[in-house]
Amino acid sequence: MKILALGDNALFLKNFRERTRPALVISSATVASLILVLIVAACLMVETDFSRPSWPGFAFFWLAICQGATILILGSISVSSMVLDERRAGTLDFHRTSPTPPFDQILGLVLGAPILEWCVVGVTAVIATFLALAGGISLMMVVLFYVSLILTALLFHTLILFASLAFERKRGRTYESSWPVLVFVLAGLASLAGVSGRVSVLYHATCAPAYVRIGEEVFRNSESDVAPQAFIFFHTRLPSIILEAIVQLPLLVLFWIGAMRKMAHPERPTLSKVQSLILVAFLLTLFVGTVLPFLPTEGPRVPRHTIQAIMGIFLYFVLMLGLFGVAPVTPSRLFHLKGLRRMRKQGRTRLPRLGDYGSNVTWLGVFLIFALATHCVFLWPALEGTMRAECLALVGLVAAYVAWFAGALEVFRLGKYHAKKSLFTVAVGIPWLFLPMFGFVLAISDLLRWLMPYFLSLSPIFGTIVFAGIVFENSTGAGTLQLESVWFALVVNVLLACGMLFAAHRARRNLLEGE
Amino acid sequence: MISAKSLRIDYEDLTAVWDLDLEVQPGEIFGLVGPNGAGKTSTIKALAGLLEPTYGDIRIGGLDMALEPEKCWKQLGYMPDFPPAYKNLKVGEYLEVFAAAHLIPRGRRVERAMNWVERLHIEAKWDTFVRDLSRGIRQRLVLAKTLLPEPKCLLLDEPASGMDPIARVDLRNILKEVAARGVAVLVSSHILTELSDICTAIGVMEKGRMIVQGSVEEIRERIGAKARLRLRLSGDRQAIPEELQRIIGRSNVTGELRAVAAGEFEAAFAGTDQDAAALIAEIVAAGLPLADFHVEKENIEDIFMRIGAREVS
Repeated sequence: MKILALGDNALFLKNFRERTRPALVISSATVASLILVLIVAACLMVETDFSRPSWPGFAFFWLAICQGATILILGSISVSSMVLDERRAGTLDFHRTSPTPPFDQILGLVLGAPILEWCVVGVTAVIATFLALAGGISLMMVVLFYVSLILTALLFHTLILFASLAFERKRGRTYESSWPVLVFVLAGLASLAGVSGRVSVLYHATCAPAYVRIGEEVFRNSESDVAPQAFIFFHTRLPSIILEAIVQLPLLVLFWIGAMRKMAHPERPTLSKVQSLILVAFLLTLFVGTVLPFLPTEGPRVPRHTIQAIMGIFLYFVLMLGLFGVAPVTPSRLFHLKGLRRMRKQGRTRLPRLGDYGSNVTWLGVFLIFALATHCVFLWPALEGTMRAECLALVGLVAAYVAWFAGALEVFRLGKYHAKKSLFTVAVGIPWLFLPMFGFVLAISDLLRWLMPYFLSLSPIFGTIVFAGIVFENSTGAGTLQLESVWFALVVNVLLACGMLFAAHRARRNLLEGE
Repeated sequence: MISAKSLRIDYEDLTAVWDLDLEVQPGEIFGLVGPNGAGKTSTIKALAGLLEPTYGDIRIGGLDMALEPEKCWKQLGYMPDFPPAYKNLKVGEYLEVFAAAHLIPRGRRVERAMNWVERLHIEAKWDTFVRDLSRGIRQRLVLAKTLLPEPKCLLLDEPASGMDPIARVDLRNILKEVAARGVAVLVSSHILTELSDICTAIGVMEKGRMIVQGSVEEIRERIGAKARLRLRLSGDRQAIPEELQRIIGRSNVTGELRAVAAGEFEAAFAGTDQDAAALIAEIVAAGLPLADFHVEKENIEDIFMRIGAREVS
């Protein structure tokens, strides 16, 4: 592991050679210089209208935005296209069969692919620092900004690299190169949501706080004053750079490990079951750390609408974690068979519970324990009276949704129709989307409106939000739909989950006996 | 040494390789032959550590690929059937990148790369972009990249495809040379005559199974392959001379003699070199004008065709 010996890193060398050809460097330098001149000229013009901010500070702010766009957007695209080119050409296999450790290979790709963008940011950072100091911005502020930008860029590039290595490559598909960019766009949208709503986790998953910090510094004494930032995490007030590190560093490590794993074992799932559970635990911790300040244990009672909002977000968060988390840890038929044959050959009688080849049942069990524990430890104390039982029922409902989806997915993947993915999509699409549509149609009629929740019972997408709404509306006495539908949905989904998990057990047994 | 024991490779609804055993000793050139879809490329990919087998032990230089892949890769050179290359690098840069990947110290990379470039006669292309190379030259470049770290084990999947005749001769000579240095070479090819000159052992694969393997001589014996005796008498005679008929008929290592062209005759031959020498002496002593005498053994292609035909039947 030679982090500093980049001259010995094959993938870094390859990318460095390709991306620092004189023609490319000259054209990039020309464009960067023109943008710099444009920014300075524009800021000089603007200065005539304001006493503050001074033009150098203002120029620094805009230059920093251009630097962010360069390294985050163009850098991510470079990483994505480099990795996809390597995969298409098959050159990645040459690196896989070389004695270079996977850590160095990932380092070479993460630092090498966007090397030109890093050079542009590095050179302009010197000019930007001079502008910032001339504009009265402290050196510490500038350093903190660049630390934040570098951290976020590394996270984004690693995320894109991970996604580019993880997706299943199919010949003739043209959209394959665009979906890692889609990941980036989604991450960008999430960060925008964080900026506007100040949702701590999303907000600190990007370098948006760093921009707000320098914005506050630049516009400090101007007419458009911005209130200083204050973020509380687990009842503790923390500087936003610390929160950025808390949110981004573990994610960076997890995506890095995932990318290394995909580099070393391209056929294996992107994350092991244990790594996936660590990710779930980390995301639940971030969620709790973010919402806990809204649920003080002392002082006045927490407003009902706050609890309702937090509970709703929690249910959806758990649902999404479960649905998206269970898919990568559910083995394919071939992978499970490989595990069984290997197990037989080694004289063992069962597959490791959290091994790559095994069932998703243990993962599911641990996931549900995590979700239930989070609810009972952090949210339960904020609830009162019958709300406790009803909210627990909602958590159980979401757990049942995740459980039956996990069972159904395993039944499908291990069954004989495993190659017919459209069959599974239709089978899940009917209860998730079609039946709810039918329910919404019935809801148009006042007479049949009461039937609507029953049609939504099997749909996690609509069911979660509608049943949470029914519980909270009834708790205020303003409910128009009966609480019984919630219990009905719970019973139906628990029964379905039991059925699906039993069917998955039978599918595993059939494969075992068939071997 | 390259070895695989009880190797099984599965794809979605297909078993590509069934319980395959294979061993290539240092200094041996093992030719893996078989029709398309026989499982050759899957076997080579699994041996290279690129494909996780369902089960089976793979050892490279005595090390377990599943346990110590990085140490195995240190000893391994792998060349796939469609050799990929970085189109936007120059030949020298390309080799330097892979010299770094194989942990060759910075100061020795260019020297080592230059050595192989010269031996494969592509030194004139040192500063040429890979995208501007012909397929054959690119094949040589990838071969140079594979040989660059001087591996102890070589896996070459169809290395001669796309090469011109001169490059094929170069390839054969280089493979013989590296094998002579104690490198274990496993090479697959459809061009069976390419292998017949250089392979010390062959394995014939069909439908994921190794039908037969061993040295060419062993396989000849095992499948009952017989050599053919061909002789030519000077003059334009069509009929078989009685004296020659009698000599050949008396020998217990030859089959029935038949004329194949004017003055040319052939018969099955199952004898040794001494038997052949005795026959020559007898023919010459009988006063027959012997112009040519040689024993033709079945080459790999003949053996493959016979085994393949037998399997199909």
